[in-house]
Amino acid sequence: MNARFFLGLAFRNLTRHKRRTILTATSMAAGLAMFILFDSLLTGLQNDGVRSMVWYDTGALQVQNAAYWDEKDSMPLDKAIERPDKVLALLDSKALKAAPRAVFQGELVVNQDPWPESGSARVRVVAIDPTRDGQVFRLKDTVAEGKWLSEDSGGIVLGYQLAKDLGAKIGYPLTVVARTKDGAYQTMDLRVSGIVNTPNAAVNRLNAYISLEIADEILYLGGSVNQIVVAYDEDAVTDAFVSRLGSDLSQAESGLSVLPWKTTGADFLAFVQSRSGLSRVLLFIVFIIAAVGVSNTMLMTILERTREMGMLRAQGMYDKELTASLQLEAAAIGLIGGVLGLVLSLPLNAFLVNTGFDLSWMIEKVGVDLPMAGRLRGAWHPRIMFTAVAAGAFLSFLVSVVPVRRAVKMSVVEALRHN
Amino acid sequence: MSIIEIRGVHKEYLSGDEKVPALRGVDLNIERGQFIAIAGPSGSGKTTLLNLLGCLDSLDSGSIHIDSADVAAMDSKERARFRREKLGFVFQSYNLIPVLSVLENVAFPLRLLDLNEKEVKMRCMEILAEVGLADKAARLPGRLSGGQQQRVAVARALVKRPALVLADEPTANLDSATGSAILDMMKAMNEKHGTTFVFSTHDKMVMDRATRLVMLHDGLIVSDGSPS
Repeated sequence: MNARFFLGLAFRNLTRHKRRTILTATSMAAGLAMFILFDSLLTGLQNDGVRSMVWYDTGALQVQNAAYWDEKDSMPLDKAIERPDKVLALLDSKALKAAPRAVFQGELVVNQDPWPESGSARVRVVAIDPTRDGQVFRLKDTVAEGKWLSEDSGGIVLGYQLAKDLGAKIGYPLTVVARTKDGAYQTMDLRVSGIVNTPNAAVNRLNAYISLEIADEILYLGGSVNQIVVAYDEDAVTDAFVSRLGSDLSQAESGLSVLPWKTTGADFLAFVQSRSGLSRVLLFIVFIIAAVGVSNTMLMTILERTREMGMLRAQGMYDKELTASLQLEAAAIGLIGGVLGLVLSLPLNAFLVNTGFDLSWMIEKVGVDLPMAGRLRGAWHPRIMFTAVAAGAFLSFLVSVVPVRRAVKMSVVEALRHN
Repeated sequence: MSIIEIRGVHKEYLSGDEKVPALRGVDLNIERGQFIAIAGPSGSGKTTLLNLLGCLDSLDSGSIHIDSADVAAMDSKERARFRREKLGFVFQSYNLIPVLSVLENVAFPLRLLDLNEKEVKMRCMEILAEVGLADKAARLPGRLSGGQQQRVAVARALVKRPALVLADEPTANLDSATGSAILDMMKAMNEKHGTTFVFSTHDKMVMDRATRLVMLHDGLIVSDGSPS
């Protein structure tokens, strides 16, 4: 059979009832465009989120004491890496950039002039080695006011939202109350030396940074830390690599574990995953619209063309050929709807990718503790775009199977007699 | 030499629970190149006979040989192949595909035969010239008169040079002048190409033009001979 001819015939048959074809294809197009845009925002959220999580908070890999993870919410200083120097030396020998951190809960107390009012706030204090930390994280680039920490800095750098909530300005004095490694309370008197405004809302709202040297001295860490964060391309982190690194590090200190960003950022990934469920529901709705629209269109088509189909079969067209021709017609509706949806989504998605929506007001008001940027942007996701178009065409093809089969089952004589 | 040999053909239809006989033992030989009309009142069995000759339906008993092929023994796919290769059809209501041009409609049977593009075009233009529609090859059927549409249908039936053309009431939708012109054209084709034409008809004009007239009544042949 002349395939090109029948393909052309299928497309031309769609012009018989232009309005019906356009309506069916448009409903599919609108649904598919919505799906593509929703997926774009989700992908953008995930890409930006993972980036700002890795660049400003978790890093790509974290080395921890194996007992730390179970108690991570309380950020214990006693579940520590006791010889970070040895671990760092081993990582250095592998040309891996790494930064030690002591992360603990602290209470920021402000009770003297020039603070506008007295009070306190629970924060996550991150004690860092400014030189090494700069090789792993990009916090230094996000200083909005003041300056980043130096080795001997007696200052504290606050997240932008935290500083705003407290009314902090550069040079303001404050006291950090925290437990030592042994669990005793200790205080540190510091001055606000910088404010960082990162694309990570959680960091901006919860974090305060001090020098590891000061934390070590006041909290009696004895040189220990509870995290060593390793820089690595997040896309290249594999289970095999993590496992190999863990086994190598056991030479430096036993009882350590290496956690990839997918583990340390599991909460955020679960959040994105839950939104992906919504995306699937949306896709399902789109497909239902397509299925109902296309099968209805095909039913009408078959009813109207029963006699013509009888003529085609009388001329010697095989049932298989007629079936293929009608299903091609159905798939063509799906394809037109899909391509239309794709074309419709392109400029809208370009807007989402280049401009996006400013959500900083919402993040500020609601207090989102996720590694989200203030601006929600879309992302190009060609695989999903083309899959959606192909799936639309395939689904249209699929839903036409039953009405087409019913049409072909009718005898030629009966079909020719049909009015 | 017979192109069609029909022996003892019976065919019944179910009407509700009741079996209604349509053909009750028909015997008929049709010679190659004949221009034959099968006539009779409604319910006489002429359309049933035409459907059996066109391999569109299966018979209950008896045998039909067309061009030496036992069509009663064929399954539906073999019958479709036989129709594709050997038979041409002209229908009362033309049954042209409205989205295809005149040329494309005529080309349709050749597409099924998978002929090359050059030959398809050449054969179509040849037959369109014979039916006087070469200048309308690019038109859509909707822009043609009824008579012109039936000419296209005749061209479509003849383009593959079939052994047999079956025409079911081909003049029923046409006025008498147009119907007469269509019959003249088919007669000319019959004489030029030697194609066998079998008509099922009520129309006296068709019966008069036929070289042989077979009258059916209640599923039996009641007369067979020259229309005069």
